[in-house]
Parts: sequence; C-alpha cells; structure tokens
Amino acid sequence: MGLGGGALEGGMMYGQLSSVLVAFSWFVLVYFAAVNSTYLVVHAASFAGIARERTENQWNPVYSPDSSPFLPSVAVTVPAYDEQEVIVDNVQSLLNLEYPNHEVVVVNDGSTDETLERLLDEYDLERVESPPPFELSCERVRDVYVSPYLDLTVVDKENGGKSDALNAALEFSDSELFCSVDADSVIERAALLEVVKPFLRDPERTVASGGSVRVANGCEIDDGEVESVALSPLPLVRMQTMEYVRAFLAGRVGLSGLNSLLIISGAFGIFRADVLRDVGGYSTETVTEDMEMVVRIHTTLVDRDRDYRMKFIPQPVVWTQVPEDVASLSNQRRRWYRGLLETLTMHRHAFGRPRYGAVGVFALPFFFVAEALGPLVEGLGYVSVAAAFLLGFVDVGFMLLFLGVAVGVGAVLSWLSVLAEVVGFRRYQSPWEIATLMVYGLLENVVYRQWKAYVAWRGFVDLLRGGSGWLNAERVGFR
Amino acid sequence: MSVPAVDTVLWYLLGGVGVALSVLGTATLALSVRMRLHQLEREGARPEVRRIVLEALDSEPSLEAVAEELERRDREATIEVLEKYLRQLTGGDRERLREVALKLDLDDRALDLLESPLLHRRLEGLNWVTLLDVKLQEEEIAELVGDDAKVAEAAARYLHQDGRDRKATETLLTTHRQPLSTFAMDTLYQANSGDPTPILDVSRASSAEWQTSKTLQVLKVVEHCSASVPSARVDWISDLSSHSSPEVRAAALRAVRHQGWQTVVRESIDWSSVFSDVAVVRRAGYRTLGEWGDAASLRLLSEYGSQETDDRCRLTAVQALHENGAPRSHAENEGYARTWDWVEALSRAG
Repeated sequence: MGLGGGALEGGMMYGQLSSVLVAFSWFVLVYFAAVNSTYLVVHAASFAGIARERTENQWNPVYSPDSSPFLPSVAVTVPAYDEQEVIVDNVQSLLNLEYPNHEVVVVNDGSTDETLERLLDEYDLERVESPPPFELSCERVRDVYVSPYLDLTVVDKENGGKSDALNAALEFSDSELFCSVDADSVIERAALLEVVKPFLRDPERTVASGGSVRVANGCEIDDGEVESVALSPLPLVRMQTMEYVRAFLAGRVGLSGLNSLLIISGAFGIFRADVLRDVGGYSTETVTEDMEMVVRIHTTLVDRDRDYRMKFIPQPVVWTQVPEDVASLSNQRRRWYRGLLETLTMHRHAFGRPRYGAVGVFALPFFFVAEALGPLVEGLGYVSVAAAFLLGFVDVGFMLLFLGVAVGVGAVLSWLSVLAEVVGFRRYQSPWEIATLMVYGLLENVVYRQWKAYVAWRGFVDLLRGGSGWLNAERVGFR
Repeated sequence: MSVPAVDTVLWYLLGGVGVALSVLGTATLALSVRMRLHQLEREGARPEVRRIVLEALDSEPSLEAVAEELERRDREATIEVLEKYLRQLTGGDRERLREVALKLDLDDRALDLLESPLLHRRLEGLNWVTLLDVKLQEEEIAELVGDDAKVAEAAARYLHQDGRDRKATETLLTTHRQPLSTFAMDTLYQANSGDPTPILDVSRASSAEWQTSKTLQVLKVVEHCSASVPSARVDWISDLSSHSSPEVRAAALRAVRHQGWQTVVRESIDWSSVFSDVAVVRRAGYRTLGEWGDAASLRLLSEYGSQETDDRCRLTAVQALHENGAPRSHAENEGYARTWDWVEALSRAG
C-alpha cells in the first residue's frame, strides 16, 4: 500500500504529477497535524477553564445580586426580520427573564411578514406620536411602540440588515449593558443573571461576556420557556447539536481561557453599552457583525491602552433553532464563512502583532489558518486524493487509512467536548443522549464534514464575486 | 523523503487515535452513568430534606428532633437546602434554622473550612460563619484576609453582618487597592446606608491613593447612601469636580444627589463649568438637578437644557423637567421643542 510506486514509471508527466501530489499530501498531513494539535491545546485550555469556572462558582457570596442597587441595567435587544413564527415566544421568554433591571427592545427590521402585527396584538403596544429627537445612525425609523405595562419597546424601521437593527436598538436603549439575542432563540430564565456575572466580579474592567448557544430543535418549549431538553430526531439537527457542543464547550471556553476570544455569539452576547457606542456601533460592512464587533473592541481598547476583560461563560444558555433542511443550513454556513473572511480581512493589521497580545499573536492567525483556510485546504485535500486515486497514484488502502485518521482525530475532538458536557454542564443528562451525541461525533466526520468544506468553498466564491445577501434560513417556530 | 513514510505516519496516528477514542469513549459513558445515578440520588433526597427543614420553621418539632432526622439524610443535600434558606429567610425563621444548623455542627465545619489551604474552601467557610453568626476575633479575620482581595470581600461581609460596619468599610477601602467587585460594593452600601459616616471618613483620608476606577466605585456607593450627613463630610467629593477623569467628575455630581437640601453643598457646585464640560458630566448635572427638583434647580435645568447642543443631554434635561412637572418653556429652539414633543408623547404612550 502506498503512494504510487508504479505510477512513476509512466513517463515525465506522470512523474511530475506524482511529485506534486506527494508534496501536497505531505503539506496536508503537516497542516492537519499542526491545526489539530492547536485544537487539542484549545480543548486542554477548555478543561482548565471549566475547572476554574466550577471553582469560582463554588463560592457564591452571601448577598443577593438581584436586590443590589449595583446590579447593572440590561437592554435585551432582538433584531427581527420576518420572524412571525417565533417572535412572540421569543419576546415572552425575554420578558420572563429572572432579572429585576432589564428592558426588552425589539427592532422590526422592515419585515415583509406579520412580525410587527403579532407583537402589536400580543402586547397591546401604544405608538409614540412623535419622531425621536435624536439623530439616528440607522435606516429610517417608521414608528416606535411602547408597552404601558411592560418594559418593552418595539422599533419599526426600514430594512437595513442585522447590524443596522442592532444599532437602532442601541439608540433606543439607555441601559448600562446591551444584550443581543436572536429572534429564533429562547433564553433560560436565570441565564441573564448568569451571563452578567463577569461584570459583577470585575465591574470596572469587564466589557463583554457571552453565554452558550444550544440547539432548541427537539426540546419542549412552552410559553417562551424550555420545559424539557431532548435531542431532535433529525440527523441533520443532531450533527449541528454535536457541533454546537464542541464549538461552545470546547472552543469558546478554551479560547476564552487563552485570552483569545474572538466571537461572542450574536445569539447571546452582552456588552457595555458605552463601549459599543464608543467603538462606533455594529459594522454594516460584514454579515457576521458579532465577530467583527468583538475583534474591533479588542483592537480599539488595546490602541487606547485600556485594561479590559472579555469572558465566555458556558453555564448560561440560550436555546436556538437551527436549520432543519440542507438548503437553509448551507445558506447559514456560507454566510458565517464569508463573514469570517470579511472580519479577518478588516482586521488584518492586527495579525501577528504582539501589541494586541494573545489576540494578535495567536487568535487571529489561528482563526485564519484553521477556520478560514482549514475548510479550503481540506476541500483541496479531498479533491487531490480523489485525483490521485483516479490517476492510479494511490490505492484504496491508503485512501481509507487517510480517511480513518481524519475521522478519528475529528471524533477525538468531538468526544472531548462531550466529556466536558458530562463533567461540567449536564444539559443532556441521560447516558443514552450522551451515547447518541458520541455517535454523531463520529458520523459528522463522514459526508457532513466534506459537505461543509464544499459549502466553505461556495462561501469563498461568493466573497470573490462580491455577494452580500443575508441568506436567510427557513423558520419553523418553536414546538 | 520516501513516499511510504506517509503511510507509516498515518498508521501510527491511526493507532494513537484508536487508543484515545477507546479510553475517551469508555470514560465519558462511565462518567455519564455515574453522574446520572448520583444526580437521581440527590434529586431524590432533596425534597425530603426540604420538607423537614420547612417543618422545622413551625414551633412544633423540637430542634433536636429536626436535627436528628436531618442527620439520617444525605448530608450534602441537607447543607445545600439549609444554605439556601439561611440566605433567603430573616428574623425568627432564620434564627430557628440557624439553631438547627448549629445542632448539626455546621459551625465546626465552617471553622474547619477556614483552615483549608484551598481558597474556595476558605471562602465557603467565611460564607458559613456569616450565615451562622459564628464569632471571630479581629486578629483571626486579619490573618485570614492576608493578601487576597476575595477573602477581604467575604470577610467584610462577615464584619458587616456582625455589626462592625466601620471595620468592614476599612477592610474594603484600605486593605486592598484594586477595584471592588459588585459584591464588595453592595457590602459597602449595606454597611453605610444607615449612616455613611464610615465611608465618607475613610474616603476622605484615603481617596487620594486610589486608582480612578476605585474612586468611581466609592462615589457610586455614596450616591446610593441616602442618609443626610453634615456638609463637611462630603467636601472631598466637591474637590473631585476638578478631577482629570470626566467619569469621576460626573460621579461626584451624582454622589451628592441626596445632599441637595444643604445650601453649602449646592453652592459648592459651579454649574456654568458643569454645563460647559463634556456630555457625560452635563448629563450627570441634569440628573442631579432633576432629583433635587426644587424651583432653583428647575430654573437651572430649563436654562441650560434649552441651550443644550447634544441630543442625549437635552433629552435627559427635558425628562428631568417633565418628571418634576415643570411647564414647557415657550422660548424654544427646534431641537428643544422636538425633545419636549417626544418626552410628552412617550409619557402618553407608556
């Protein structure tokens, strides 16, 4: 078994092709080893982070933060575009949050469905009969509605995209902290108080924190609350569930522990409002405004020599609806991938610069090499192995061996995050669900992973062609 | 570089990955089963413990009988439930639960925890001596606190619960120089809300040594202490009106919001310089005047608010006027009129 000894006899052309493929296979192998070693370091950091977090949580000071006058006020904001299926459940879950000092701001970003009407009907909102008396850094605001009974404001504006909607929410809120939540998500009742904890522990330096995002499909949700947690029966959703567990419990925790947090999910992130305003609000130049905002805060505050902290804490959870069909998932992932490339390009000046600390020296280069180039190299790897096979440079045994290693290493990383779930979080409690997750940790490396490499290539081509569409996913409502 | 080496490397990798997967898979599944069983056991014990603890709040069962019954239950669940209720309850109910806890020797457990080399165990111990009102001497506390800011914060809470508010304040403001957590700020507030003399005295003596962030935090605490104090005690706050940080200048204005009844305090503020300062300071000025709410303050609000150039500051000024029932001024510029329209419309809608 091996890369084609016999193929070398086929003349000059074959010999050169063979050399190229051998060199490329070595490149892929070294790249594969380097990236996965770094992922292992991130996973190790995540276990250290989980242990540290558990220790910190073991001490619960003798006071009640929710009755303290120093509990920061929070504006929980929801940008909504064509969210008629989920908006009422979502807003209800936000109004139900166990946090004594929060307001809810929904921005209807020019929806073409009944998002606004459903909100008006459900909450008896009153229109404010006067235009706002301040300059707005967003598309035209048509109307503002407030509830006479609840801390709820609805801003109805022309469509301008998610960043634009978040900027509008920032204009209409006066709270100390600004929390963005996706409309297709449900926050656990105690999660806001949990995600605010870094601000309570270190109020002067903390500028942002984020909680975990988990998959709501399959869970029982009633009146904006998660009644019971379960895995969806759909294989595509289970694959994504495994991905979310890995991304949040291993990736974000580990990167946070390495001071390299580049993403606080737009589905559940919280920021100091004055810092958001100070750095100029959300960028409308990218489709992944959440990542861009975090990177910009890092670079801006470092440039201003400000001592600051950003923290990811995995315990508070927002449950989000993930796509259930391949087309919607493809749109979502292409958007994420394109946004990643846009953000890395926008902040390329910080790459490798020690001035920006771990973010400049490690996080940005790591994201570029592993997250941006990774799927592209992987895609090329599949193509070259297939080409080598067709040209007779490689035999079936070698292909299976390569695939076995790739699947195995991917599964090790996934299973490490399942272990983190078991020892640290336990949202999925039954051993059967854990075993199911582990099976999907293996399965996702076959076909699904290759499909994601293909989607990344499509996102890359989109970017080269200058595409900028939102690429919406189909909403099906909470069940 | 020979071609077969690729295969060899891959074979080694595959072997390593196989071993890793076997170990990891077995460990994960075994742990998930074990933790599930432990969880079910704890969940089973908790309602029973809760029932016994809640029954103990009635005067019917003797404390000995309650303690005896709890001793037969899962100890972790008992400690967990008792801690929860000791934090929530006050008065006679809390006292009765405290006595149950003492009968279960949780005070001895707390003192043992204070001896632990592990920080989080010592902090847990301080929580328990606070909840159970276990008496500690000042020397013991000082030895415990050492160099650790978290322990200092927990110890300050204990001192406050024990009625030693001045000592609690000194522990937080002079022992450690770094900024405080919200827990520590709350302790400072609780220790000074009835009589802010300790925080004002300690701050006057030490504020020059603090970092800007700590000065800001102390000013925020003072802002919430509503008890009246002699003007001489807040003169150090007036001095901060010329501080280099605009946030401190703004916080200093907010810190005297409850002292507006004192002419000396009011006269110590130069409003023309406040309203020619940056926006954050001007907003603080409008808010403070709004809270004073007397005729002179409303006149100043109206005068400076109508000339205000920043939209947000103007909104704060008009909101303050509106909340005080001040009449709408006739000498309006366009921005001022729009702001009044908005505030009135918002009030009608909400």
